[in-house]
Amino acid sequence: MSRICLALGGPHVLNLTINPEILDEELRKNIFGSLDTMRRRFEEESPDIIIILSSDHLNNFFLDNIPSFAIGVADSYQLLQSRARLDPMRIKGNRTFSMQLVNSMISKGFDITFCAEMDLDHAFQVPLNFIDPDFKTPVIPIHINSMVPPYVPSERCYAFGVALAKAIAEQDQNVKVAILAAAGLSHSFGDGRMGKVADEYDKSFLKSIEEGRLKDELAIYSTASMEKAGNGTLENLEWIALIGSVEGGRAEMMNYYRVPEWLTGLGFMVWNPPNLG
Amino acid sequence: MTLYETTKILWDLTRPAPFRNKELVELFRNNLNEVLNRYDLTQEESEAVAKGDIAGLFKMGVHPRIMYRAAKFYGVKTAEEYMERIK
Repeated sequence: MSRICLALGGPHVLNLTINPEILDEELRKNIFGSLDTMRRRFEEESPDIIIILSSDHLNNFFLDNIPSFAIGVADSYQLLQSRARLDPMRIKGNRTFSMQLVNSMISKGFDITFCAEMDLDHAFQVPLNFIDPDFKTPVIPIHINSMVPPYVPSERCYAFGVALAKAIAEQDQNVKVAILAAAGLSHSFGDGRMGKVADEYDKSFLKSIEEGRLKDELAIYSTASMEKAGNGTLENLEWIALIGSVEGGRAEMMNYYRVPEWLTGLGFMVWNPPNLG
Repeated sequence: MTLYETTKILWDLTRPAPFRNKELVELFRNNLNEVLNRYDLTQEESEAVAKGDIAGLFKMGVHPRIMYRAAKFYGVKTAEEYMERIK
């Protein structure tokens, strides 16, 4: 039986690796300090596997074939980097564990796509670069479509997280699993709202998570409300799935920064699942 | 389906480095019509892609993320410039 030992939430904005120097010093310290805290807790827990919840940014998938949920089932994954100061390289996966997850999730009513080849773009790579800088921990990527409507409703994403925790607990391998939501908060990309940050929406969303109200407030944080806060805000779906997977736990760190210079709001979270109290 | 084709040609031209179709990009630069003829585009769409008409393509409804990549492909340098060009 496996267990979730740690849940983390953090942004994947490329600017973290491209131009941190444009931010004022205090903000920069707070952002990278938050990432340091996430890395330290990751090292303390020393998970055997890290599941990354994120959304492919129309690199791996195109409009001809957009899965709502997709799980990577490869023994290794190509990291795609062309613009950040990160190296394209292959990182380890765990095919056996992934396939068991797929089987469990399908048996729980989630008709997910599974991918024997899945190339991971910056959305998966950027936070991992700070949390597990040597990419030593095998990765299981889970794509939740946040790019192309129609989107899976918030309630369904939460239920996906709940089912994922059960699927992890059912696994044959006795491993410790960390889950990372590698996802932004409010932002828009490529439309006329680019640069606008809905910081009140972001703060309210994180407060709902922190105070354990999210499950009862999913109607407030609907995909329609996310779209209103910016077309990139649909990535909140990954945060919602993450919280579903560790419901009943508590936040150890929850930081928010409004960063219009990077066109986004940034959330950083360390969350102890219920078994850690 | 033509909006799909317009988005597809722009996606094909702007794949990330490991998958970049260098031949297609080179052909687009040197023999534009040959590339355009591979896609089911209207005259208006063909012209917009050929000219790099960013405002026109944006208004047609090309996916914003592909649109931003395409803008970079057409030489737009910054987000601020992009915001001006989609107006």
